[in-house]
Amino acid sequence: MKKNKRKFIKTLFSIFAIPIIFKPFIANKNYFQNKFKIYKKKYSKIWILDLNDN
Amino acid sequence: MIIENLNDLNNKDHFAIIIGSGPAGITTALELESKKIKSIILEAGDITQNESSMKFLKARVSGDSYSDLSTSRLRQFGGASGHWGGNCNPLSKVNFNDWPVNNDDLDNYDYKARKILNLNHKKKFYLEKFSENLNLYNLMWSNVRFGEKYLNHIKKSRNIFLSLNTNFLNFIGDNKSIKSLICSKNNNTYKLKSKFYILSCGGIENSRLLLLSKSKNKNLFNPRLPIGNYYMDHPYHNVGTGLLIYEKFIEYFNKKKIYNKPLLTCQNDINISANNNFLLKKKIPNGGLYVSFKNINESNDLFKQVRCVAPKFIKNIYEKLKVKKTYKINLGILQEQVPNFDNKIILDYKKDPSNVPLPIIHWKKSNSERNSAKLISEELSKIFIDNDIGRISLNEYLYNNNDYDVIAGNHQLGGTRIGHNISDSVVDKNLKVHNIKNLFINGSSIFRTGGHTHPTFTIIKFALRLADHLSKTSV
Repeated sequence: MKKNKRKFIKTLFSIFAIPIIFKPFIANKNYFQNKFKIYKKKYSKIWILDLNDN
Repeated sequence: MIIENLNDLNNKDHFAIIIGSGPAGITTALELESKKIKSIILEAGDITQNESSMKFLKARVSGDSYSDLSTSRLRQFGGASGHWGGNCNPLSKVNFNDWPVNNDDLDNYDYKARKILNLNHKKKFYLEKFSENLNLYNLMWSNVRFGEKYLNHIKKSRNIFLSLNTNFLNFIGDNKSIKSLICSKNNNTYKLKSKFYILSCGGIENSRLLLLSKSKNKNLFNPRLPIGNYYMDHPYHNVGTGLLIYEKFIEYFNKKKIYNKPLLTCQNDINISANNNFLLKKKIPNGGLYVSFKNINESNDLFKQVRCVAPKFIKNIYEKLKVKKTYKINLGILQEQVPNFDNKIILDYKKDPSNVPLPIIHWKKSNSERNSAKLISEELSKIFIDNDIGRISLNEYLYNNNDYDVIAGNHQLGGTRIGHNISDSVVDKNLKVHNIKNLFINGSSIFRTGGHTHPTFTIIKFALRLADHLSKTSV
């Protein structure tokens, strides 16, 4: 029982660890897409905006 | 002195004949004169340009839309410096990577070049880090019109002989050496002899006259010389516009400890380019962003647009500031072109009034230039967002394949490029045409790469270096 519980906790931690470990790489790779938005509206311009701008 | 009758010079041996009296030609003549060496300048135009001159400057262009070459050049004493913008800045070190000359070689001529161009000796050209990927740089402005500044000097000179309205027609030579030059003046033909011959007619004419000579002297010129190829310009276009909050912009300069703080006035642009790491990483040529400023208030259309597309930015940043000074910025970019063999000058079947074939320019922009403009502008946009300086909008053509108009440029570069060998260059490190003992090329046509900087300062340094070299050379 104890063994199973330990195994379960280990698995749980490793599953949660994956996004935490890889997050910086993912964020770096898609820095532009994640943080900024190429926003096109009624003006014939492409606005480079922050995602929180509107 | 000004020579009216070329018979005075006919069939005599001279030291150097310079064909063309633009900034490069005049500079070389002045430097030779300072060493007490005599030279002859042959200028096809008169003291000032007249209407008939335009017929000589016609050129057909194939490929992308390009500026009118009959108005962007001048056929007169002083050449195109008669209407140039006066902007000066040096090529950066990285531009010389593939050249047989390095930056230090040219730096020796910095003092003299500044003197010729009336540039302040105490003022520095700077290239300062602006962000991780961008640099801040400056231009200096020259008020020199070579025709105006040096006409009286040359009139009085005993070492410079200037012949106006004199058309170059051909070189005559054999055994890898030019023996004489044929030119015409007032419907008479003359044969002039010299130790050295220097073509200094500008970015297009140098190639045109060399191609003409090559077609008439099949045994003199190596057929492999890529004359006319690798033609380049600095396409300039407006890439976008934006809103800038003054307080935040200055805060950024202070935070980053940027020494050269800008003056935000309508007269002064801020110049920003990409650094080498960014260019290598993105595999793009460089470009110089020209950021110009106009003071605006909340009733301005641009401000209204930003309020519409980025309301939270206006609310969170602009409205919370006690002092709100805002500027509309315009972004233009002067771009480096990647040297391309197929961008070239060739001879047309149509001829000018002196029966010399006119040029055809094959010129195309490439996608790497469009990509460069996009990536450099986006870098600046990111800095604006990260530091709440403002917001930028870019023109749609940066994100699609639509063609875009080039506003200016008018820096005709390449065609007789400098290099180590004949396979991809026309002149060697001393500007001597490969395999010909006494023919030299002077001016922007020798540029191997164009950089994104204005070429005149570099042209003057090369012209001084050429005079220095000739004074130490014997054939």
